[in-house]
Amino acid sequence: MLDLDHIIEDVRNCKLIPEYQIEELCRLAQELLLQESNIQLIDTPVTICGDIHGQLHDLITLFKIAKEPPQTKYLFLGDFVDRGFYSLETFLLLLCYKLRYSDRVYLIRGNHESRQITSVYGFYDECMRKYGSANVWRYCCEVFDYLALGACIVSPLGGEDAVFCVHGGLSPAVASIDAIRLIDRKQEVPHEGSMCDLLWSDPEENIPAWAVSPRGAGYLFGYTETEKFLYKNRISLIARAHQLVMEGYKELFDGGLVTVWSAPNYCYRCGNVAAVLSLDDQLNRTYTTFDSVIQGGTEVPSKKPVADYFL
Amino acid sequence: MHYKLMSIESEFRRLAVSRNLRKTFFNLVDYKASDNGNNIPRFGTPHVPVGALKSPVINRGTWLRTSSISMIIDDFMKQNEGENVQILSLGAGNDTRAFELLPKYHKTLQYFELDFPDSCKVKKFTILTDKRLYAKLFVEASANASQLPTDYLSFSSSDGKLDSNCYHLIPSDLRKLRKEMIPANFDWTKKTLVLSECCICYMGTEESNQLLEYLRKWLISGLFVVYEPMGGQETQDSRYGEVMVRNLKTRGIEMPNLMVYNTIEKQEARFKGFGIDLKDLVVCDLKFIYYNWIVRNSIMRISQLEMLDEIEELNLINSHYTLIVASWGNAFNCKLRRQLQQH
Repeated sequence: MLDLDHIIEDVRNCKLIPEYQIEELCRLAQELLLQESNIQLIDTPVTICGDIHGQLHDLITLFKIAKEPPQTKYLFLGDFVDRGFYSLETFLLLLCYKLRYSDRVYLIRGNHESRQITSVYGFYDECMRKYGSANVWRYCCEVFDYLALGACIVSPLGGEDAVFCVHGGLSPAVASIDAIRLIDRKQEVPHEGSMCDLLWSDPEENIPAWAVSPRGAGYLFGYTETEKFLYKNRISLIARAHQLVMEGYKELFDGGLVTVWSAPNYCYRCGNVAAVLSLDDQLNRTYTTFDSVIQGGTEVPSKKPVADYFL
Repeated sequence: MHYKLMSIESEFRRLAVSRNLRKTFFNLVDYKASDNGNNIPRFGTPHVPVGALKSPVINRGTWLRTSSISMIIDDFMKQNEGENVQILSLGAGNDTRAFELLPKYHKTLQYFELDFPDSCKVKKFTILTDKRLYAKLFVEASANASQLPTDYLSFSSSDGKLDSNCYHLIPSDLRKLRKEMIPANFDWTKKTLVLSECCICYMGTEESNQLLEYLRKWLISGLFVVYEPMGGQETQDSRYGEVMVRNLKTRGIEMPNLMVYNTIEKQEARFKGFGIDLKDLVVCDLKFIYYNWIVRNSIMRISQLEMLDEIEELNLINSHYTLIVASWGNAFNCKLRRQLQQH
């Protein structure tokens, strides 16, 4: 039997977790996530967090600022791994909290929770470096396949409105939230189609409807598409992550959509602040911004590549 | 790689550098970071081994840097077609631009490269040992063959100077540049493109400005092409420059001007201060260039070679690099580029 509290303690201190324990952890997580639907229903109050990208120390700061689970109910919008130097610890910490407090911590999938992307952007290399084999990476990727695609936040006090949460954005193949419920999500993120779009798309002011995304996957969607989706699904807000915003959060389309970004000083290079969004029982929005803890330089492991520039 | 190692006196340091060079080929360590001694400003461009796995955002930015500079150089060559012109490359280091330009323009172009003596030596001997390299620069290898060093001692006593009828490698310390250090075949009356690709940004503010003023004063007709980072306007939400200074410091790199000329406006004022007319001056950040100078098809083609997820990050980094094109004495007509200018 796994001692989750003990593992949480070790992960927070960046201690290496034995491979067999990670295997067990991932197996339990799969069983748990399997029971969740594509769109999770979450009651307020809840705190929504955007991309973390392996910045473990900043995640620990986030928990300090918005309170440790289970004191606060959390929804993480994906992109736990890649880019930062502690992807594995970050993902394991979130997974442990999920297993420990399954109705207080919710995780949905980001475009980086995929085999293909993690093999380019750092998570695969990190696992290889830390364990000398790809086993740990493989166990984690199997968990990725079971992560939900989105969430709907409602008030337990009733009320018409809801908040729709997703990592990237809308898809031309998805007109209603119900359509997302029909997707068979238990697979690697496809290169195209509704599941791909939900994880890859971006909002864009100044475009009428849909446009090609410069990322090479997903779409750009505009004001009218957002309005249509809000109206049709009776929601007041789309909360998403996926894009770096220097201020930590940014509302678009008359407040109908918000981007939340929770990785301060992204990639140890961008100099941005991070934010989380808390929704109360009236779905009022409170943004809390926070800065990177890492001023002393100990956060960047000295033997690994530091932030790159053109020199 | 061979001559790089030969340039190091200490056996221990040689071992360390050799280890890092080998790592570079497997892309575990940045060349410049590993090879740069503490606080010794080194000029030049990074050495990117073929097939190295740099992160996509860095690859995309490096491509943009190279292509935007090439655009200006091509414009310069076209505008002055048939005329005898010169390119003076400051801190040329491992820069390979001459290999591309001279086979094309050797009849009218004189190419001068300036760098520290040790960097010149490494470059010179690397060129001399490969026909594919020296043939492109029209260098007579046989005349130089006897000079190849075999160990540190012969390396340190050797000379980094290399000449052909169109290519000139000149060992020099740019901080102490005097007219007499420039060889007689450099013609101060010819139209000259002065290239600083991440070079003068490593020099002190005074030193770099003195160098530019000096060239501006003595060249009758010239064109500065300067690519360098700028720290940006610090705001409560954005501390890019401050973070960059801190990150570079951990690698023993200093860029004294990063926060001095941290915005386009300040760079513009700097070059106007050298007596450059506003109509002869173009200062853009690389984000602007990416979206306004580069043909859409090229971006599409590049995107297919390597997928790039971090558009925002690329935009952020690019907005902290500038390309400055500043001409005087009719060396270059900025009109076209000015139409595509920021503001």
